[in-house]
Amino acid sequence: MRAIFGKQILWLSSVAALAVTTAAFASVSDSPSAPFSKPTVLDETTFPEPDIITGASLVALPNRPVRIARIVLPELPSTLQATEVTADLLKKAFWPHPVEFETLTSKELTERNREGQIDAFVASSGYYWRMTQYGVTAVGTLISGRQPDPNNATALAFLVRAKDERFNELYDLKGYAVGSTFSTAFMTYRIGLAEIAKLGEDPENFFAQTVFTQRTDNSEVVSLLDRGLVDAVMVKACWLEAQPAEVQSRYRVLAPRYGGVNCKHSTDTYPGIMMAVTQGAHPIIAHVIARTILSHPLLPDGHRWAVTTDMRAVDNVYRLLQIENYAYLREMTLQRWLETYWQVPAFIALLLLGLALHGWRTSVLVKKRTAQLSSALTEREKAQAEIQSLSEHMESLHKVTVVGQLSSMVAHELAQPLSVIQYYCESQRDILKNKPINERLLDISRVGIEKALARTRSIVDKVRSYNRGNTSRDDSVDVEASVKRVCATLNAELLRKTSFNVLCKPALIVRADKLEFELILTNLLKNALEASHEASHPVVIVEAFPCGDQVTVRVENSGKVLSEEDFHRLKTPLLTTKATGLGLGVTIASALAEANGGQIQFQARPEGGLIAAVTLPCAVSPLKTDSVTPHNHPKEH
Amino acid sequence: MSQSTDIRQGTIIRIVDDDEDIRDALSFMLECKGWQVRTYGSARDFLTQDSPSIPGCLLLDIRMPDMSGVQLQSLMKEQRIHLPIIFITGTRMWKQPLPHSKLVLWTFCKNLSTRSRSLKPLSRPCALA
Repeated sequence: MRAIFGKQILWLSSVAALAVTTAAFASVSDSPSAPFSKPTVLDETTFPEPDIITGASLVALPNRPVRIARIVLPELPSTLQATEVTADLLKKAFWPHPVEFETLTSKELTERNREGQIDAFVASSGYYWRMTQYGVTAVGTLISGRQPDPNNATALAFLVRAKDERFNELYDLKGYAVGSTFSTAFMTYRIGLAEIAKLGEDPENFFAQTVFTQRTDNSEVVSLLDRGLVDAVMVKACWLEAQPAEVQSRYRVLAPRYGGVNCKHSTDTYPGIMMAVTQGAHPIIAHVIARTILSHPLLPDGHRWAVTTDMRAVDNVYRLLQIENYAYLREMTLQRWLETYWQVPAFIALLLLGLALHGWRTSVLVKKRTAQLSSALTEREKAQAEIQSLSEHMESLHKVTVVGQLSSMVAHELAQPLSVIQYYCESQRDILKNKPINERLLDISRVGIEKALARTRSIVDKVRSYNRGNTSRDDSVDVEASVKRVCATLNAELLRKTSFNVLCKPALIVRADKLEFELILTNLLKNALEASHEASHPVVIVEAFPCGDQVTVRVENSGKVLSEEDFHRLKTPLLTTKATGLGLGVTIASALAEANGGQIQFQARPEGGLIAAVTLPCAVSPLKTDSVTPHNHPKEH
Repeated sequence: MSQSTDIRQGTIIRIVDDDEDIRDALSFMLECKGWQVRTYGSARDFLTQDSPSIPGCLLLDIRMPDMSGVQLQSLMKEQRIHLPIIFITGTRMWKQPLPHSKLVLWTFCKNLSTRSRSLKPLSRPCALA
């Protein structure tokens, strides 16, 4: 790019040198021309004489008119007039060769230029710079009294309403509507956008809206502001200064700058209107144009043609806006994309790496956790199996013990009717020996045997139904009778040594299974006896009394003072293999009490020993009292 | 047989047992054999109602509510009632030898057991005594 630029400057300098020499030459040969008046009508007498080059060469010009075009310029009227005067001058210079002069839009001019149908054109420096890709060559730049520097001949002014205090800097316009002439206009639009780009903003999205008048007249753009359609407008610098004072007072140049252009402006300065010859145009044409415009010092309103030597500012505008010659900047090649947004793939790569790491870590963690969980599960299963087997063992121990205790109770129960039967059988042997047989005695013995057998059968039935598990537990059981019966089965030796007191209120009936109730009592009393035996003065007190809807049988025994541990062990089912002894008997009693809708509570006796209280529901509910009482009545006496 | 007939005259066998069925059956059996029998439902009844002067023996249930057979035995010793006692029990939980049980009618026991081998409940305490 730099090389091309350098080449361009070389071109310009050579053209300028040529222009200067021809001008000097021309000034010698030309007669002093009259002060300029509006040359709308060609005055043949003012035509300069053809110089040596042109004189010889005009003959060599193509057999067609010299075609000169002027682009649609949103310029001040005086500037436009200067270009028209220039056109007239050129027509004279080429005389008698015809010259065609027309005004074209940017698009049309580009088209013609591309097709080689144009020899020279007048356009903005921006347009000229765009056309350098087609080989056009600048031969002059328009300057004026206000814009004397050909390299800095033009600028743009952002105008806002004089009293609008919202805007002080260009940046203040962000998000507001602006007006301009054409979207392709270099001097009244693009250099304004370039200024936005220099602020570091995106010029295409900086304004909320941009209104184009599609007309060259800057006044019309300013009228957008008057009509309130936009908040600011872009006009050529010096437009405001050219207006009457009354108009000037209505507007204000935003962020005004001075220098380069002798008007208030809001942007950097750029070369102004340029004259250029196209690629392949006859060198004579270039020569004539350059000689003519550069040698003519005075145009309307102080305009003159000069030579621009620095187009970098223009080039920079296109580069900043990434348009025209620099449009390729918008086409993202992979390399450019990577250069601009290298963070994105880097970030994605990092992300992917992170994801991969995370995935790896997760899978490792999952494996670890799974292993932990499965081992924990195995352990738990093992523990559960252990507990299961223990509780099964416990249950079987219970069963064994219960069955053992039951069978001894049953044996005790059965022993009585069996003895009775044996006695009667023995009697019958004697009765049958004495002839004649005493039938009355025989009958008595028979009745006795039948009665005993009935009792046996009832015991057997009871055990059978208990084994089948369909114990009713709804029997009305006389507590006193049961206590007496149980006491009778206790170890006589121990009983003899013990101060054994039974305080049983009469007519206490509990709802329970008789066998189980007696089993509970057996266990509690047996324990109490055995435990109290450890004391020097063994005492066992059995009390039965009503307690609300329930009946409580309290078994108190003297004994050693129970430690916390002993007491705790008493209340917890033992998970040991010890099948006999105090612990299991107590748990059996507890289980049976619960099965009968009651409970057993233990309490340490302050003076040593233990108090066990079994509570069972009372069989005599208030509703049944009347029907039950007569049955129980005889027992009270 | 002739020996026993002599004994049966002027002697009374006392039965103390809380179980009425047992009491009835046992007394019936002994009466069938020609013995004179008196039954008591409890130790207390025996102590208050019996006439210790009439010779004989006592068939005593070990396990009874209120006062057990063993308690009665020691009480009888205190009151110097030297009536031979034969303990009877329905269960086989009898393991320890009884104290003060030297006062046993050997002959009576022997006769009973030899005559009827089927009377196991009776024979066991006899052997122990």
